[in-house]
Amino acid sequence: MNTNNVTLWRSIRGPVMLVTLGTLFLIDHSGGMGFGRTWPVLLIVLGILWLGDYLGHRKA
Amino acid sequence: MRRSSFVAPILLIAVGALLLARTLYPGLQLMDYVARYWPVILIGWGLLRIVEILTWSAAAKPLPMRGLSGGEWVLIVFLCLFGLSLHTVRGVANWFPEHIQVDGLDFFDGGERYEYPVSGEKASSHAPHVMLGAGAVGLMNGGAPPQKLTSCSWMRSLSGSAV
Repeated sequence: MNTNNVTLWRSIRGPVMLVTLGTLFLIDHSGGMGFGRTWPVLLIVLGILWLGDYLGHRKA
Repeated sequence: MRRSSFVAPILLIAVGALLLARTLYPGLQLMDYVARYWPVILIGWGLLRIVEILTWSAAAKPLPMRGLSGGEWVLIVFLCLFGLSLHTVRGVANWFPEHIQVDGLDFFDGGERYEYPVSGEKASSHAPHVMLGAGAVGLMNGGAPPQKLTSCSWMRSLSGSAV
């Protein structure tokens, strides 16, 4: 497996999704907006990360 | 050579510290805190891994294809299931529905709740007597007024009417 061409965007995709998931659950448990209403944020964050990965590859 | 991560040891130290706090301070409501703040573990885990990857990137080391391995995702899923279950069981959940109905059948609830009063009365004996309880001794006076007990209980009924 060649890891030299892996962009930083792709590497941090999983951890950033994990932080987002934890933040949404924490908001839910703190009495804020429920996870049932905020889960699309996960899709938005994933899309931003994919876009950054795509733009990073184009620059390279 | 396999690259080692410092996330797992730090998480292990954190879990050990929590359990140690529970043994040192038995009055500490640890499970209540865990039920409410378990997502902080996910946030800390993700932040630590981001810092780790940024450190590798700054040192011009090859970056991993995936920031989190498959095994870590499995562990995260189990952690989420445990946390959500604990959150629901401890009674602080606000997302779990009270009624889930499919074709008229009520799941997770077991029917409607009906409250009804409970009362009882017991006459006292006329002769004085000694009562032995768990670690206590009491002298009951003869001729005392009858003891009355009133309370309220509840039941659930699927048929829509309490029996």
